[in-house]
Amino acid sequence: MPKINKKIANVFRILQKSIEETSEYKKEIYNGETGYVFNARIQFTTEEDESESVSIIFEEGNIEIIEDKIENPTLTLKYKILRDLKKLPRSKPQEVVNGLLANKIHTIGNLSHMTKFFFLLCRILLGHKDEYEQRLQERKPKEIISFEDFGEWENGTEYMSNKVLGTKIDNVKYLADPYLGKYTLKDFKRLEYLKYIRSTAELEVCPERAQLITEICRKEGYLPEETENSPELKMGKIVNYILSEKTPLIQEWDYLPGTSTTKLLGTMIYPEFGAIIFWPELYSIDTRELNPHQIDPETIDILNYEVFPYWIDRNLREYTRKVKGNSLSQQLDEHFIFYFMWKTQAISHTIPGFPAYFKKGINGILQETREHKKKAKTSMKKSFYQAIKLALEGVLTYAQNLCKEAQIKANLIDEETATPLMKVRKEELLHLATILDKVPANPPETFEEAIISLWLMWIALTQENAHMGLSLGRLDHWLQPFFEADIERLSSEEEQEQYIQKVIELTGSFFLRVSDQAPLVPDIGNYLFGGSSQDFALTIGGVDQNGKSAVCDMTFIILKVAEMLTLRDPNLNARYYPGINSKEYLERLLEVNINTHATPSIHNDIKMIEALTEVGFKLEDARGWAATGCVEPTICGKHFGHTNCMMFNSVAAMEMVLNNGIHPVVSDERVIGPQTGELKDFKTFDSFMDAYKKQVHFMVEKSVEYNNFLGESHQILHPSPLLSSLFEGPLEKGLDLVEGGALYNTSGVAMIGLADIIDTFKCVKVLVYDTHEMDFPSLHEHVKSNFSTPEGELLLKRIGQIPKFGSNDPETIEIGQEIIDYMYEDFYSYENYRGGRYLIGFWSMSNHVAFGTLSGALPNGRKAFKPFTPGLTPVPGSKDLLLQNIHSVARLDTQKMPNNLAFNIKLVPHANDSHEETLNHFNAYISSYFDLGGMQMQFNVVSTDTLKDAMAHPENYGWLLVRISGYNAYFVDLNKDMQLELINRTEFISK
Amino acid sequence: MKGFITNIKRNSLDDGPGIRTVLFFKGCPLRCVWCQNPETQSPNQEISYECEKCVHCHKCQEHCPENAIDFSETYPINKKLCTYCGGCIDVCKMEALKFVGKYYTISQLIKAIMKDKVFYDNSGGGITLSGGEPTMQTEFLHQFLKELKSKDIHVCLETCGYFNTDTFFKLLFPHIDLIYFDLKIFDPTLHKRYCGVSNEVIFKNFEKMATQENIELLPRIPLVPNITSFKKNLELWATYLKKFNIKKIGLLPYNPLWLSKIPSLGKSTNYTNSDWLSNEQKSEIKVQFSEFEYKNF
Repeated sequence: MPKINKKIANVFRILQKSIEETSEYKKEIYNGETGYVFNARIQFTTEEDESESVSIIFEEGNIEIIEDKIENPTLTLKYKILRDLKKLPRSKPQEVVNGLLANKIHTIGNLSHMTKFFFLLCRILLGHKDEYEQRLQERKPKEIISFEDFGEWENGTEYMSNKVLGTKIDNVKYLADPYLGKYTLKDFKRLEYLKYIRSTAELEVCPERAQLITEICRKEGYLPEETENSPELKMGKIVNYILSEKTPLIQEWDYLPGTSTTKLLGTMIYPEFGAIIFWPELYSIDTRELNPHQIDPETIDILNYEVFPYWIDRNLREYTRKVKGNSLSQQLDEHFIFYFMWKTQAISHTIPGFPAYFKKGINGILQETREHKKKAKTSMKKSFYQAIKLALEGVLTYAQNLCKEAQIKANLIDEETATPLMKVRKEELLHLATILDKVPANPPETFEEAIISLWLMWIALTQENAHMGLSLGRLDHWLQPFFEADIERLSSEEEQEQYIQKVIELTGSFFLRVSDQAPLVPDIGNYLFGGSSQDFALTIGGVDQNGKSAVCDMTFIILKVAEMLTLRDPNLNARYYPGINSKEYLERLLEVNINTHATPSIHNDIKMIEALTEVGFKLEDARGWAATGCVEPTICGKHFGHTNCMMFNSVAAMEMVLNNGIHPVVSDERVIGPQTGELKDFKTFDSFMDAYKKQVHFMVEKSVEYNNFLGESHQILHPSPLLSSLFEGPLEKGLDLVEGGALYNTSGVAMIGLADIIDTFKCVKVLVYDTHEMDFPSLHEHVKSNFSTPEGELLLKRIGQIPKFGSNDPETIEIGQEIIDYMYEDFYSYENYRGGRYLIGFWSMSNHVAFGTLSGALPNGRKAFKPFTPGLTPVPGSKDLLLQNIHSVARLDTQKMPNNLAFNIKLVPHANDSHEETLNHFNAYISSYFDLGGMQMQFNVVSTDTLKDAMAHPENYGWLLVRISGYNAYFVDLNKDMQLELINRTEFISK
Repeated sequence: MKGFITNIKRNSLDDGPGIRTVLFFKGCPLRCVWCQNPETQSPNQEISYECEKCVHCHKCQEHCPENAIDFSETYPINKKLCTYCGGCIDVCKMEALKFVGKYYTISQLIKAIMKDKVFYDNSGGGITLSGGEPTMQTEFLHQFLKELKSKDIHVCLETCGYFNTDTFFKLLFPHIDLIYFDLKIFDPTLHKRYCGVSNEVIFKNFEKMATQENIELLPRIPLVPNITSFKKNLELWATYLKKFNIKKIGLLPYNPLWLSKIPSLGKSTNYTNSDWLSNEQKSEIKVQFSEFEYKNF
């Protein structure tokens, strides 16, 4: 038998020969035009048999192949078993991804080198480019009907029921029916058309931003050693350049000027963060199973030749690796099973202070910046102010370019020959040009001006940073003054009604624009974060800073728009302050939730504000919180809390307890965590609990270290002057947000898998320590065999009898509280790189599925590779458990969850209940939960049968919105594991 | 004093307004052949055996002092030998063997009920006494109801109407907010045949109830194919109810799921209809009650 490494070496030699003989391929590793040279030393080896190693060295355009290990590899790919290494030459991007996630392949070193290598493999050996070109020839772009010809369209809201409320409530001043019950999307033809465009447009990769940042950085330098500029000033120049050069576009028939990308529905690329991981997929992303994107050949070339090569060693992850020496904390992140760090992908998870921006306009902020700059004593501070100036001027240039574009577009419509409809459009475009002449330079005075100002700044912010979870804040509260000022000027009821309709259309148009982009999700992300957008959260309701109800006309307008459009973004969150906000407002929240199936998520304002003041936020500030990304609180405009800096797998610590420091999914031999002892030596339940805490502590320590490393890299590579200019603090202190410029500087963590951990403790306690039915090692044997023996099956039945978290069993609550307290205290004891504290919460995005499908079996009967439950939701069980679930979750101390929680309930109205009865039932559940002290709840109002049907017939369910944990997604976008997890959630019926 | 109860069901939305806790009392004077809760018929203790939970460890057999357990039978307990000592139940970790009824003191029940008070308050719910026939345990119920009223809990009684008129109106009636009164078969002969007793008392009690003030009364008719839901019977009920100026009624479609409970009780049945009502059957029934208000089904 020839050895496997020899066979692979032979395949590598074919690769080598192709590259050496074809100039086009040669360009991939030695590019005379751009000066790029791919230098990398990559070795492939196996845990099973180290003699089966093979290496490939790229050096100055030459390739060398060695049938052995090499010295100083830049990257090692370690395969767990030999058989998988054998498949290497035929590995498609997705197979590599699966291998990495399942820890069948482990990387040590430069991940970007891996992506480049697999790109070469896909392009040269697997023929992906030829297949792509074939598809391109056959591709027919989707036809989009023009507005003039737009007729009847099934807009997906036809089934909704609406109540009418004839009385004004809370601070509603002008809506005669706050519920706006008479309106449906059919009443807003333009909005319906814009929704039609959004649903018809195909997602397409937009290279513009990536190309612009690469151009400017080639010129000015990016790494500290390449540039004279301070990090802040460098970023100021980058932002200015991107915004000045960005194509000014106004979408046909849109109310709002400007677009995020050059495509109808585009993905932006942030090569300085994580985009390089997508390199191998360039020629196959249009055909992959999940979340395919269209991509044109020019875009591929730009990314492949210009963009990615520049960033291959400059991106945040690799820069951090270089300066911190591939720390263990970084390596753990790259096992995908301990924690996931968002800083490798994005800055943010925060909320700017838009009210101050409205008040001052960009000119006002520039004026303040000048004054601060005059007073600034250090050159660092001066350059920070200079950076803000450049960034803001970039926004002004972009606005001016849009202004010209509006005029050009208007002039193209010939007054003489235009249809009446086009004449209207001409007027609109000229009107837009007038507005753009005024805002965002000057403070907006009307609702329309305010929303355009907001939208333009939003575009600009997403050009500066990869914004994951950048959020909109309390738009109802902030836009209400403009609404009031406008409507006050109108005297007749008819005019006022027309104006309200106009505000609905503008708000709807804004919603659709905010969702005109999607993140570039490499296939690995489809498995980790399926169906997620950037999670731009928007928050309504609650109380104002004096504690008075902040529910107003705009609250209900936003609810109406969210209901009619059923978009996953913005991710709508509603604050409800029992006793201060009206019951009718709560009822309307539930009606929208029932109609849209999934949104808004509803928060108990009392508990959230308590939890925030407990960790040191001032009361009047805490009252100004809004949800960020999923559910996490940010004090808008004052607080840089990177509220989702990491997702922490609580189960990984348990697996290391069970295996004395080894994580069996990673390796059967390598000890990773502390050696907390053999199971047989845990003489008491407490000693078992202590071991778990030690493993948690180990992971906390490592995750905090890596998060801080990445934060330091942000400080050096990627400050955010534009974002900083919209916060209280940075201007006064002369410090960027990433340097700790904001008033509050926490970091937010999502703890995942708690319900499974509580149940594991409970089951071990009952079986091993209370009834002595079996000893711990025997129980562990069953866990290791995944309960697959006949005795294991019987044990599963027995475990089924043990009360779990969610049954309101007092012991499970005690165990849960003990773990929560420990996690809270441990994280809180650490300081982040900005001088703030780590705050934990219990929600999971979609990582309960991702971490679950990567984790082994547990003593609570959860089988290997099955999802955990979302957020703080109890494990699915008896259908009679709804009240006990509610009691149990509400009993946990929410003051130890300042980063909030997600409690998901799948609740389906009974078919024979009237709309009113259904509302009453939902209302009773959530009101009781809040009375019992619950903090957050979200309903999926869709039946298991519907979900199953949607899985079988996705074509009929394009708009089916579901709530994962904290964020919304279109069901048909989800990976199979996630679809099944939703289906397997307990379905409660309100009957 | 203790109540004898088979089940405490929380979060019920079908047995009265709002979110309710339903108590199923054990023992019933009727023997309806389609009884949905056959475990509540007998006022005596019984043991249920759920074979799908059983892992056949046969510890119960070892622990039975009467040698009354035999797994060659589908229902393993020999009722003639069993003394209901509960030894088998104590050793069954899988909870495959269970006592059907449990004895509760008033304070135990109040504690169980009060857990969900917040849900009753937010939904306009409360508790529902069901069964079996709760009024068979009059003495206990009398004390229990007084306690419930002192806690300001809304009480609904579901009754078959077969009770001692004087005692009921004296001891129980004053403490009840809402009565679900089941009316089954109008014809006395047929009633005797399918429900085991004459319906004379039921008519008498219903008529007294219908003329009371300060009580919410909802007559309910179970729709059992060929037994109650045939045209003539429904016509007679509709005419009868109109006499009392009753506008709102309950119609309870036949639910065949009760059949699965029979083997676990070691019982058998002659009525084995396992079909749900068809849409045609439903519309034929609805025609009879066009002048009444009822929840759609």
